[in-house]
Amino acid sequence: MRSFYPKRPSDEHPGDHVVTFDIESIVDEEPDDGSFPKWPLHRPVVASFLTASLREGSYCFAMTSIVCEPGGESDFYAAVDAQLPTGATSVGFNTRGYDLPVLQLGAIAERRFDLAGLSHHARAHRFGNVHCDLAEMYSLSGGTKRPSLSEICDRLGVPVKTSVHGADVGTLWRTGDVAAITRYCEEDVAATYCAWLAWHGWRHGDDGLIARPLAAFASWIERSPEHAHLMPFATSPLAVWARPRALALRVAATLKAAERRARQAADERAFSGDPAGF
Amino acid sequence: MTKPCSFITLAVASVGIDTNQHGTHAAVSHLAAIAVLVADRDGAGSWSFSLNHRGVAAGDGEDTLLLWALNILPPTGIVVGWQLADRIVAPLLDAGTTGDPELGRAFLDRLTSLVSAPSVDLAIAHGGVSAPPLTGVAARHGIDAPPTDPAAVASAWGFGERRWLRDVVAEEAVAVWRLWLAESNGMAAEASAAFEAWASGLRRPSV
Repeated sequence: MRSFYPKRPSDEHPGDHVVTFDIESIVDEEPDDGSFPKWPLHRPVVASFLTASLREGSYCFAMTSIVCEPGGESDFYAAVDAQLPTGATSVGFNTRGYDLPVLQLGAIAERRFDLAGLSHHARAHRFGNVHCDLAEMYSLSGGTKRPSLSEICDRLGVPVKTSVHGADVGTLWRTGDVAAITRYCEEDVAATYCAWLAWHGWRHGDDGLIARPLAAFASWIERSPEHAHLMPFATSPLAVWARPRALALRVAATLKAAERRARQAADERAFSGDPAGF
Repeated sequence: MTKPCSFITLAVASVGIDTNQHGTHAAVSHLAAIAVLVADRDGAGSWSFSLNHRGVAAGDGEDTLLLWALNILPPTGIVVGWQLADRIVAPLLDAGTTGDPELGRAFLDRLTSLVSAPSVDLAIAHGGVSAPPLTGVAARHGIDAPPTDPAAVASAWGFGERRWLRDVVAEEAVAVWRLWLAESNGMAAEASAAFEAWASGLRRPSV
């Protein structure tokens, strides 16, 4: 007889196509008491997306930052939607509590009801495998108070909040320093991606799931001068641990292929009656 | 008393062979020379060193080098290099999977046991794959290092200048080891003194 209890959805987030994202936002009027304004009051100004895909055994990365210019809100949400395809795992930090509801409300307010990707990820099941909110993962889904990204990254050996802070975004936006906001947003995305890799490796009990992509991410940063502000992530304690580990895994994988090749050659020699080699 | 430990500084020269215009063969590399500088620290903290290097010419085959390296490389130790993953290990992996299958397996087995211990890539602190040439970084510490010149390596390999090839990798291995000592924030005074005493007895003035 089938159980009538609903099955808990899987939290095994697929890791081969991951989009890690973060938004920076402003409010029209800052509260006098310095408190964090309620989320519906926030208007996004920059959204950054790091797409990491595993293709034919190699990791590929792309960082895209989208600026929401005044009057360009509708296009902004369409561009955000394009970064969140339904086949990807979306990853963020406190994204269910802030980023996704802010983006969802903003898109609805712009009457953009055609954004299937953004809608798919914003409505993802809390315990499902479509969206991974790392604040939930690290706090065991409400088992303890939600930590901040800085607290998690400090413990993991990942640099975070290296240039500016979230409280500076409003001032930077009003003074027109969009580049500084974008750099800050991309740094947060890179830190979140490192925290995701650590979580993913832990979730599956496989250090290769952090070492290989983190080493590839470090090389990608080194190869792209436009991402020089992300260099601390290539030399962080976590990356310094991951890079030799990834090298060892690469050599071990090549050895396995060489063993298959040697066995095949031995079989062929035995079949043809040739003596053994070297 | 400290535990004995071996540090294996690797330097490799290789010739890149691009993919052909029809894409029917992938880009590969051909090993041209290897240098292995082994620094052993015994239980009493004393240092001893050995430097071995070998080059091959076009037509010699990479298996000659792999068999030589298999006999030279210690079974355990900490591998040190400059751009280890891309410049050193990648051509070794290529060579280990294209020549004699049994030799390739044996060589990769040795390499696997070596890199299972954390390896040290000195280039990471200088920009990793986009680091400036070793020559410039080493020069900041007053260390001579051979310039990286892929065209010269290809010519030496093509025209059989084995001695030139093996000298270049030997100089690189020595420069990388000296750079590691120099970047140790004063922690390697004993190793540095022991190495310079040993190096002064080497025949080649460039080393």
